[in-house]
Amino acid sequence: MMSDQLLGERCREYEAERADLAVRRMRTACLLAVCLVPLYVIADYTLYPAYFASLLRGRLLCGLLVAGVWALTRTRAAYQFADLLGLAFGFSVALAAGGVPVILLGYAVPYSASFIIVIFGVALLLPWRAQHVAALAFILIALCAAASVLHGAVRNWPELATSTSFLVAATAVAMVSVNASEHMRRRDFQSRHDLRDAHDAKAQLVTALAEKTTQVESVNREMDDLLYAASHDLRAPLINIQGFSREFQAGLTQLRSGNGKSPEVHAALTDINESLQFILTAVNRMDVLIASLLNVSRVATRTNATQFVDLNALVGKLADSFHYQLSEQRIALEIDPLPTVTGDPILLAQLFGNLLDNAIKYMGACPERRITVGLDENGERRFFVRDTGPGIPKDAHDQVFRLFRRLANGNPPGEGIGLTLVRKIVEKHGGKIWLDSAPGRGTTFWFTLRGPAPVVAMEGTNYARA
Amino acid sequence: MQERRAITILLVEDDDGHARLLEKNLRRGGVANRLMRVSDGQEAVDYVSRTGIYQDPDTYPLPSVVLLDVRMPRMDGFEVLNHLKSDPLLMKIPVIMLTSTDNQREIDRAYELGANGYVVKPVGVESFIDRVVKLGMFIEVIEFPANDFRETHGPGHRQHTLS
Repeated sequence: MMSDQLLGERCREYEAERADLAVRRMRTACLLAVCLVPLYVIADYTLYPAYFASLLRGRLLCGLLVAGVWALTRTRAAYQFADLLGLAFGFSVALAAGGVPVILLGYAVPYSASFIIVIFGVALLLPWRAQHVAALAFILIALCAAASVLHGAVRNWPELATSTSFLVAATAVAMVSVNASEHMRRRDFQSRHDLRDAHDAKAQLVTALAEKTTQVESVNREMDDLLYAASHDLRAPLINIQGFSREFQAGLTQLRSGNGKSPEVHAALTDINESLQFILTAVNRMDVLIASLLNVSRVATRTNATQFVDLNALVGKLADSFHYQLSEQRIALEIDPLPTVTGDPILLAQLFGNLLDNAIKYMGACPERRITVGLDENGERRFFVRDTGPGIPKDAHDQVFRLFRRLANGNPPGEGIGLTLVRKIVEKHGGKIWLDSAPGRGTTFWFTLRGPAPVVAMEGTNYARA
Repeated sequence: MQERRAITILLVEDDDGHARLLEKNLRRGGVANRLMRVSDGQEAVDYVSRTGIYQDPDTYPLPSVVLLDVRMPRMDGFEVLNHLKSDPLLMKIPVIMLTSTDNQREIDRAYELGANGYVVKPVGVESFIDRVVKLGMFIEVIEFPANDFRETHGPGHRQHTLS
């Protein structure tokens, strides 16, 4: 819904456009009309030599009038009084077309034909409103009627009506076409403005979106930097705690190994040792967690080492490195043909490595023991790592990618960052990852990666050891 | 055994705990060289330039190896490294950087500035000796106690033999 102010502005704009169009066309028409005067003069001389002198006066007078109107269109006032000016213009054109003889000499019928032409011409040429056409027609019809009556060409009302009927009919038709043309002009104006409004709105949205995106990116970068700095700085005091706890233990061991201690002292030493053991365990755990955090933050802050990566070769190598675990746990690993993608070979190796590691770790005691790595090219190109393990219940699906979360299936080793890392790596490669799993149905991790247009085998593809 | 000159290791480390741990590890591991310690970059530069309190060459001999911590307040490890490697008299002294994490950017920068090696803390005696061996300086740098180095020490001590 447009506000009143905006509506008022639009109306003014429309009127201004109309006035501008009217003035410009009037100018052109005036010039044309003035140029026609000599033609008329010649025609008069040829057709009506008897009346040439008076006709000539008439023609010249009209010519002057039209020239005068033309001069008026050059002024600033022309735009404000475009409609009034248009009337004057129409009138002068009518006169130039031969209205003067009608008034002076009373030739009703032939000249009313020229009036009809004038009315049509002026009505369609200028962007007029119907009422202006009506006004002009009224003036001309009145003059015509008056002239006819004055000169005795018409003796009664029916005759007057007949002679002016053409004019009336012409006016009616002219008014209808003017209405139609005005309607179309308004529609055009409206659609132009709608388009402009839509463009402006879109431009605003685009700017707002760009700003928001920059903000989000900046916040993400800050978070990654924070994570990195924190994990880095936390290590320094940790080194001391670990180191001196061990020194503590070493000293304690020496103390305990000596003889001749009372039972109380011995008991106290045992207690101290136990406490120290707990501290060391906790500190070691902290070390592992911080290292994991560092790893996760590195995925984001790592500068792009983008190359073509042959996934067949990469996953093949990983399969070799998992060979021992696979055969020990009697798990079969199937690798479907995989394409070449663009990305960071080290991160991609971590990605597939972590997924395989997870699949193996959580296989448990399932009767069917198979892991499949492959590609599904129906529609979106997506990779999958599927296992025939115990599956993950639906309500735990969100948890799976969270940092340090592990499902309580017998507490397997690891810090619980594997899948967080996997997701970060997928996102870094412009893809997304999701899970398809249910208890008893195994688990499938689906993910997309951006890649080059497929196929062309690259000579000498580069990938780093996992 | 030939007479060897006294080999000094200069440790540039701001954290007292890290310095102490390093010293204990090295001593326990059988490294008996003289270990001088300074607490920040500026002191390190003063030490090698023999300015300020470090003028006496007997008390403060020029080191044969410098262990340099990366992160220090005021003047950090890279500035010290740069100073050492751009001085024609000092550039020959091997410098081994010490850091808390294996940050690839730090490692690259260290090697760019001319570092001779890199160890992640905590610095155990194995990694220290490993670096020194890589520098080809085992015999020159590592000075075990006056006994034959093949003699075994008590429990908790390590043996280091040339292969």
